[in-house]
Amino acid sequence: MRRFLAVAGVLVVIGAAGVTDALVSRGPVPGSNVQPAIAYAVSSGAAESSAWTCPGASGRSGPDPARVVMTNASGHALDATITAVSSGGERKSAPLSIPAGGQVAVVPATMVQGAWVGATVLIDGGGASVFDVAGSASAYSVAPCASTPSTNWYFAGGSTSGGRSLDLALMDPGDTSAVVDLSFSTGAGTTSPSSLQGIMVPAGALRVIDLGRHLRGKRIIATSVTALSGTIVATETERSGPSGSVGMAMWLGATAPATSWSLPTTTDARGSLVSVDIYNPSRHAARVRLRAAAGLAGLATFARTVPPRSVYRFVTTAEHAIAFDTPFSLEVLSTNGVGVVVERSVSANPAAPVPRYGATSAMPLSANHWIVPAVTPPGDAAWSLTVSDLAGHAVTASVMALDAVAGQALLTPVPGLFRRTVTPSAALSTVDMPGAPIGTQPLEVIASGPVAVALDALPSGSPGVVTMPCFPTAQGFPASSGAG
Amino acid sequence: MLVAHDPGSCFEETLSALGSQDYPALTVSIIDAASEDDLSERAGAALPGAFLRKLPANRGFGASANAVLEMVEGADFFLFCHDDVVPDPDALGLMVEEAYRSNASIVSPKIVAYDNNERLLHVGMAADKTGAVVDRVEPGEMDRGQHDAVQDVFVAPGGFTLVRADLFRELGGFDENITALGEDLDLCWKARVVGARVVVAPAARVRHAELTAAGTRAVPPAAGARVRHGWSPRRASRKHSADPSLQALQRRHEMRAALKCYEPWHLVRVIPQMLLLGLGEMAIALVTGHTDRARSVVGAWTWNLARLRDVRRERSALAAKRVLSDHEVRQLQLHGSARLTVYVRRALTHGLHVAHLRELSPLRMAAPDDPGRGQYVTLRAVAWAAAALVVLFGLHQLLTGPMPVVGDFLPLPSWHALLGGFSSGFHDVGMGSTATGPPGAALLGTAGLLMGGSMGLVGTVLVLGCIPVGALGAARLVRPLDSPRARLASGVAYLLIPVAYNAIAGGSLPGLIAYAASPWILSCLARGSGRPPFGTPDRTPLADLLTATLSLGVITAIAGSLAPELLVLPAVLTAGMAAGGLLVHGPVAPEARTEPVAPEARTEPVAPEARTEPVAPEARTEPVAPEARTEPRTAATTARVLAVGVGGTITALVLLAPWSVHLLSGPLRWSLLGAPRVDAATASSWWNLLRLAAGPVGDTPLAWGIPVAAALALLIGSGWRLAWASRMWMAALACLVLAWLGGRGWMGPFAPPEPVMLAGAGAAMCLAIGLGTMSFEADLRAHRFGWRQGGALVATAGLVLGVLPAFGAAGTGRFDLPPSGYRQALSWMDKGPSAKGRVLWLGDPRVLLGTGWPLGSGLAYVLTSHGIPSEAALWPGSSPGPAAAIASDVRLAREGQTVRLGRLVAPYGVRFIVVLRSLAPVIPGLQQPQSYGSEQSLTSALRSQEDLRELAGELGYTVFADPVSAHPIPRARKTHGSSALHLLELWGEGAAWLAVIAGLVALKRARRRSLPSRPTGEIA
Repeated sequence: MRRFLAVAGVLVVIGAAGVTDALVSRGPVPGSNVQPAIAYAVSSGAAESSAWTCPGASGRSGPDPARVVMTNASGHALDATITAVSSGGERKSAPLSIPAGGQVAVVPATMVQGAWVGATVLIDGGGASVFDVAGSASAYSVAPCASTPSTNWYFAGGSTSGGRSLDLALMDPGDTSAVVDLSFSTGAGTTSPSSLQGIMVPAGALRVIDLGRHLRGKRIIATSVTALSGTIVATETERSGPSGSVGMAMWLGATAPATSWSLPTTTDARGSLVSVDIYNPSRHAARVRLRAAAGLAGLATFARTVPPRSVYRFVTTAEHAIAFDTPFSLEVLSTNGVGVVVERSVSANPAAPVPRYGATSAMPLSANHWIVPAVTPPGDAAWSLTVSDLAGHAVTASVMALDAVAGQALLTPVPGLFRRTVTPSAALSTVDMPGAPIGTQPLEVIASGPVAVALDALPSGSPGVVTMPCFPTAQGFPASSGAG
Repeated sequence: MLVAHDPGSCFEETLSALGSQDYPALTVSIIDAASEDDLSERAGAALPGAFLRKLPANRGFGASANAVLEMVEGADFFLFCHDDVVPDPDALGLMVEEAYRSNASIVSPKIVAYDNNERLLHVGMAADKTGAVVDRVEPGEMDRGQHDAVQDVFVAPGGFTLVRADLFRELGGFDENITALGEDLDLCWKARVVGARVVVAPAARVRHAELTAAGTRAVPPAAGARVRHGWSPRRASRKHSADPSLQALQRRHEMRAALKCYEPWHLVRVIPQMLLLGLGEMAIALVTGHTDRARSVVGAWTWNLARLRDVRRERSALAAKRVLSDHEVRQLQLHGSARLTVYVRRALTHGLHVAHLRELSPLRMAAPDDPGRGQYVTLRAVAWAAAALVVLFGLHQLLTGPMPVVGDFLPLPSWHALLGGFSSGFHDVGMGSTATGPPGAALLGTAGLLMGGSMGLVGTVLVLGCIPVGALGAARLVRPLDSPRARLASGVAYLLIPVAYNAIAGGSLPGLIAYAASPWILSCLARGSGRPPFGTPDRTPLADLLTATLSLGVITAIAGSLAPELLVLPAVLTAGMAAGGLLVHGPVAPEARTEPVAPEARTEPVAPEARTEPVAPEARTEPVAPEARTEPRTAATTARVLAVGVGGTITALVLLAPWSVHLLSGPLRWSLLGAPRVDAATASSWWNLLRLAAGPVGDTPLAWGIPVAAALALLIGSGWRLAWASRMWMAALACLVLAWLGGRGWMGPFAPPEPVMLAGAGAAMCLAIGLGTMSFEADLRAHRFGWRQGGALVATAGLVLGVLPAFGAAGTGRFDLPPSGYRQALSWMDKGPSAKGRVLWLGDPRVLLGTGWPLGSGLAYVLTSHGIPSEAALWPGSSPGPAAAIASDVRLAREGQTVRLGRLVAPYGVRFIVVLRSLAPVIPGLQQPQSYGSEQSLTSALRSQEDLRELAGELGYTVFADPVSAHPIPRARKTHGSSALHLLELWGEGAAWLAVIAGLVALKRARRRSLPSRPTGEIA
């Protein structure tokens, strides 16, 4: 009996601990998703400070000087300092104040001279989002600025064929000079031009590289930017047509490949060319599944394999399973765990009004809480908001207007957009709600589960030509973000 | 000349034998050296023709025998004999005959045992250069004629010695300062010097009872001393403690002979050797607890130094008669050190315990009574030697090269800086603290002072010395196990389990100190339990409990002063043992009926000359009556274990006060008593912990062998073996479960460091391995052949396989400790302008330099006033003080709540922020140290800071400079009032230590007095 008790006691302890150890997860391995693929999350309102980096666009005399727009979703006014940086090395700072619930726009090109002008915004607090609007009425683009620099940036798309120009802007917002290497994957393979290795970006400086001079006539160019020292922010700007007259696209890169990407809304307009570029920068082949959900029109799923260090272009307009002129949400999932980078480009029907070309990056993360800035693009664009469900089950989403009242930010439900049900097969879209204050005032989207939110400019050009991902808030990320 | 003093029952036989000698010209003179009884009647009855002279006092054999110089004239030979010898009828005649034939001046017979004339005692004796005497026969050797040749010997042993009368007069007789043990050496050495020959005539046989050497009869006192005999208990008297034992007498007389008989040139060469050998012997004696031996060594020197004038006189007298040079005399002596040779031989063949055995003649070996024992002990010696060689080889690079600065292996400042820091009341940790300095600093400072200021050596000894200390502790822990195989299995297992080597590989000082301390802690708990074999049932007085408690307190305090994480280890082991004891509550199985006796009575081999001593009653094996087979004392045992564990921990806290008070009152006390939490994803899995393989060493399936081997006692043991196996397993599991829970983050801020818990578990498991071996020997025979035997085979294989990983890891010569640490990579921080400004060190607790304060799951931080952390980082205290604000700022940055960390920490004078990613710098091709990835998010966050400049770093770490930091370094200030209080605290701490140590000494003396003393013949 004594032996039985002793042996049993020992075995019970060993067994219980062993079973528990096996069944209860330890959590993610540190560093596995430490580098969020998304670089434009908004910090909480309680943050001590936050900073945004906008590599910008051409200078005052250029075709598309950028406007930096700051939206304050916190409950109090925020003091900030904007520093304009030119590619020639000129820097100038100016203080400003962003009212609670309000927006402030600055054109850095008015502060400094240079062929290219970017800006950094240092905010005494958090809860503010910053984005760039660049271009003219005929060709403009909207892209979020980066709230965190990174040592790696990835771009899935870009082209220097058909008269297009492609510029890569590298901005070092910190106090450490950066040394950067570039590598590219094109249809012809991977290349790392020696002239694009060891690029020095001094601390606080801006370098712009005309990729067209090094990679001429490439139909598709996927780019990997690696900072050997320091951290940078990278954007690509592609112009179509003479001086970008047909369209321009400016987008922020992804800081890391991810296994899950979302494009909340895409429409294959008849006559247009909509393609999704999937870039695999790793050494292993990626097996991806593309799932297009179009509400009652059902789902279409496609499986593809992207070889290592290569880019694959999926042309949605060439897929019969996806109907024309029907908005659909697109999810790209890597089924074998190999991270990829996803971007979408849209070349509108030549008969459509300008702008007729645009590109945007997909969203690698989902969040429960999003900031939707007010976007006043050149021209008379209207915007639609799309909220797509990434939870795998129905969620409830509310769109709240951010009003500044007596220096405070108040959230007011937007009529018709409060506690709306969103399902994986049916996204919430304001296309059919012309009176909704989309793009005209800052909004917040609060959902009961992970969703992705994007703004799409309508009716200018074709749908999807000008799209801007909205800003997830740091506290709104669910536990598993799917990055890495 | 027969010198008699209170002769025993064989006196008449001695006289009769002398009367029966066939040598016709023998005249027997009896010198009664102040016997209590009148010997005339006895002498008259046995040998009527003998002369009798009674001396007024007993001044020893030599002084008594010198009476012949006055009493006898005209004799050719003197025969000096004891009162307990029985010569053969032809012995004297043969000796005289040989004297003439060999022209020998001193002749010794073959001396055999009194009760068995075929067992040899002496056939002459030899001596080495220091005068240490060694027998020419093995103890217990039987006479088969192998020593029947006449030979020159160096010493004719006393008892029955034929000496030429003219030589005896020339030499002035025996040295009267030698009361006993050594007069034969002295006489023969002097005889050699004057050119006389000393031979042994084996044809002459004498039986000798050796009553004095056996301790049966008291040794003659020195002048003015009182004699106390045999069995009476020792009295607590300072005078008694100062009187010499037989061992002390022999040492001093051997030294006297050497001092007298060497020429000056040879003396100059021999004295340093004697000094060196004496120091070594004293050190070993002190370490092994044989203080009497140490006292004997010291006493020999002091006694002779006090008699230098006399020695000089004797030297002069001898020099005048010298015929042979020392070189010629040395030809007859043994080469090297006989004492050292015998010690090593005895240690290898019989074990260290026998080697340290206190005995009358330290060079007499215990008689092996097991014919196969010799072969087995050789195998055991080989096993120990192999294990030790593996360890030495595995550490040879660390023994010969510098210790890299990784983990807790931090550079130590000078000894006076350590002591000054401890006593000054200012502790340079964090932003500076006026809390009481850690006792560990005082300990290391004192060690540095004793080592001549070589702090590098102190650091190396601190790190590497833990292994032999742990091995010694394991040997002590298993000593009560009455099985050499069991002790071997346990000891070798503990020496070769990967626990210590993973601690070295990981730079974990707490792990190493826990490895050193765990077996000692277990030993205290086991002895305090009062259960066999560690304690004696029905004989566990309160004093034993107090001794165990205070010992545990001292050990825990010493270990805890260097690594506060160890303060919880006794409590954990105690809880486990208590739980294990409760599991085995119940009636004892019939096959475990016989309870073995107290091991300290059984394991000491009896010296041949002590065989006639009656065994102390409590040392006999007593069968347990059936009605006593239940375990009525389980609750009492558990209570005792708990009392010792809790009491010991409290004692340790008291000894470490007020530092321990400060440690327990700070907000981070649980983090410091444990360790900053590591990321759960990188903590060791339960199965890795169970096989003690939480590191690069032993991370193979072979490591399962250890727990498999430890399970044997649970499966086949019975009686106390099963009970102790249960206790040890539960103690091990308690440690492992805590380590596992802490690693998972399920214990809140308290996360016991894995290396510390693994050490405790390892010690317990290794004792269980020994118990399994004992179970194999003792319990298996009660069963028929079956699964038990198979299980034993599996356990044996498990033990062999389980220790193999250590062999593999030893190949690196440093057990995977990276060769290059952070001192080389970051030495620039200590120079020039970089040396001004604090450095904030961030990283996983397992790679951080020193013990940091927790920063978040998987991260900790250390703040130094400049450069590489020093020993102060080992004891950061539980209150970071103003440094906590820096941690808050870093958390903000990590959470993305700030981009201006540089500005936030600048007011604290932080000039550099270093993020450590791996245990040591990554040097491709040279070292790829362990890294855990916990700091990646932190590094990204720091890179996002607008005002931090990342300096060009190497692989394994990143350095950020804070250009904003230009503020003077704020420091805590010492107030005037605190100095007096601090002094009081120091005095109090010292008083507590003195009180506890004095208490321990008093308790141990009281325990020795409570045991019946043996007939040592010590002078009272």
